Amino acid sequence: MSRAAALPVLLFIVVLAISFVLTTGIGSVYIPAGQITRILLHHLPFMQQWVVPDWSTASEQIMLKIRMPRVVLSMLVGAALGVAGAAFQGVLRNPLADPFTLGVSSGASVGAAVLIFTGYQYSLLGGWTLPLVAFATGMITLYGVLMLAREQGRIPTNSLILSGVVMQSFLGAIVSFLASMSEGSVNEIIFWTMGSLSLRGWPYVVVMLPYVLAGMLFLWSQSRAMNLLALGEREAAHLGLPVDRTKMLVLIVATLITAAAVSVSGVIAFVGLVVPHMIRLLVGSDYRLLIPLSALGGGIFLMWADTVARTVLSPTEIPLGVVTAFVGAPFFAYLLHRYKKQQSK
Amino acid sequence: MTSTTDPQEYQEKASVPVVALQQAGKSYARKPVLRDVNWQVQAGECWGIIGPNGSGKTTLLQLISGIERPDTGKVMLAGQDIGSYSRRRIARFTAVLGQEGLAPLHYPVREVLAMGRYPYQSWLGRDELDTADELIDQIMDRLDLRSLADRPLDQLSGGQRQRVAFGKVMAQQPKLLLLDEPTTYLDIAYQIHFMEWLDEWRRESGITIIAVLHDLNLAARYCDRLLALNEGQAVQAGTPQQLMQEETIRRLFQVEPAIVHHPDIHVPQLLLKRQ
Repeated sequence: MSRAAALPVLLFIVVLAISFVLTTGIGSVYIPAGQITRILLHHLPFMQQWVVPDWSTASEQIMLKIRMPRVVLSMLVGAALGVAGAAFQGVLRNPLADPFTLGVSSGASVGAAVLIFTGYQYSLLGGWTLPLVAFATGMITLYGVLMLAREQGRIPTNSLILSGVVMQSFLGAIVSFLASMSEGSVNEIIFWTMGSLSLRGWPYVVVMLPYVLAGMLFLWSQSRAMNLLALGEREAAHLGLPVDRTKMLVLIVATLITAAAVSVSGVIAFVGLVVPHMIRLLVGSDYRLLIPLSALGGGIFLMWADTVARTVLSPTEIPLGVVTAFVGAPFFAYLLHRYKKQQSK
Repeated sequence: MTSTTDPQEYQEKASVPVVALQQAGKSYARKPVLRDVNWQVQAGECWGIIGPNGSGKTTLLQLISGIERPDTGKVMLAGQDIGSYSRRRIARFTAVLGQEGLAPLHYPVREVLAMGRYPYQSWLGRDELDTADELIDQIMDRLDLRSLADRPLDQLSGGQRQRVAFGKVMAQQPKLLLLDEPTTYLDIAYQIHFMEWLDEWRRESGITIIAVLHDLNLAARYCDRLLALNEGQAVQAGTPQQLMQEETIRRLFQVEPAIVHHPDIHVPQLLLKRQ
């Protein structure tokens, strides 16, 4: 990558680091940023003798055991959704494509809804039951959509998008049905479909991290292919790209990391659709830059969105998907407006 | 025959035709578009493919570029069945330039030219050719693109975009160039420029060219051989002098032609009479 491209990446990394420290501090017990930095440094090897502990063990516990895993997880989920969204828009060459285009969110929702409805969500594997089942049903849905869209070994973009839409409305109907049939004043199914990161500890981070990281690296490695696809599928084929295979691989990997995110967080709309577009307005549409910045941007965006979700009406939590749409849509509108003004100058 | 594993090594074995079609046929929805085409193209030749709309010209190019597979017969590229090559291998041998040029994307010109290097890049983006950047610079100088290097495509005119498309094809360093009505949307000055660049490139690199051209006069002036297609069949192949006959043109296009000779370069040129 060129040197000019390194600057925005660096800038985003700095913003990510600052956001990380600030969002970790915000909550019912406020922890100052300086203290967070010192606690972090204290836990780094070779740094212990330089940083003298002057904080209470309580705040250290809150920070390390409660806040940090949640902030890190929100970062991971945001990054996964951001990159997956950029990848979907890249290979489908459709600005409205998002990580849920192939129906993986509704597939995962059906799995989750059935479990919650039947009361089996803590059976067999305890807290892991729901994420694993949601992941599995998400993948089954992906398979179904791909089979539905296939025509003589090829997967035309239009039938793929249509298959996804059909699958989503069908599965969405099942989820709505189960939600309307289930009793209880606080409807857990509805809440799940609106996304949340509450009560997710380090184990979720540990499971997700290598998986999502590998997926994102793969998608980054395909960024030159996505640049070629922007010229059109035929043109890309003439330049030596095996178009069908590339499309397929990118869609599957993007859906895999989406499914991983959805299975721990529920459905968080908007991130995958809008973050890549925001990045596009800022730096243009070179995927070599767009993919890593969508990861960083998605991470930053969701860290703050989750902070809003857990603090604004504390102790009540606002569903994360509601916050992302509520905060994200106006911000996107503002960016679009500014961009249009720039263009007309 | 020993198998040519890489078409790049092909040029040394000049006896093998660059492209050979053997009884090649293609149908869409059971309707034959090409039938029993037998045709050979030798290294360094420049062929113009002529024929009325719907005669199968574009399909023929798609078979040669490997985008479509023949339903019957064979398409050989550098002595080997085209189906045995990967897309990347084909792209190192064959480049294609269409009539529309490039979509108006928000990519700078230099980046688009560099995309022509894709078949030579490793998955990390490293080019086999150490001097790839200089190559791009040379192409920009030759096509007067230097001043546009950092401008995005969506701010260029159609003619400028077609020039960028041409530059991208040059960056691909092909042995075989397929052109599908490349001058359709260009004004007459650009058309001549375009064909002169092409001719210059051809004389320098010995590249083989197959061009679908609607403009028969352009075809007669710049190609040394013509192939006439009609209703999916190759009806005649030969020099412009042989094909640019009133009788042939009348049969092929159902028009009343008058053939005259270009005053300077002694190639047949076509005028049309009113019906």
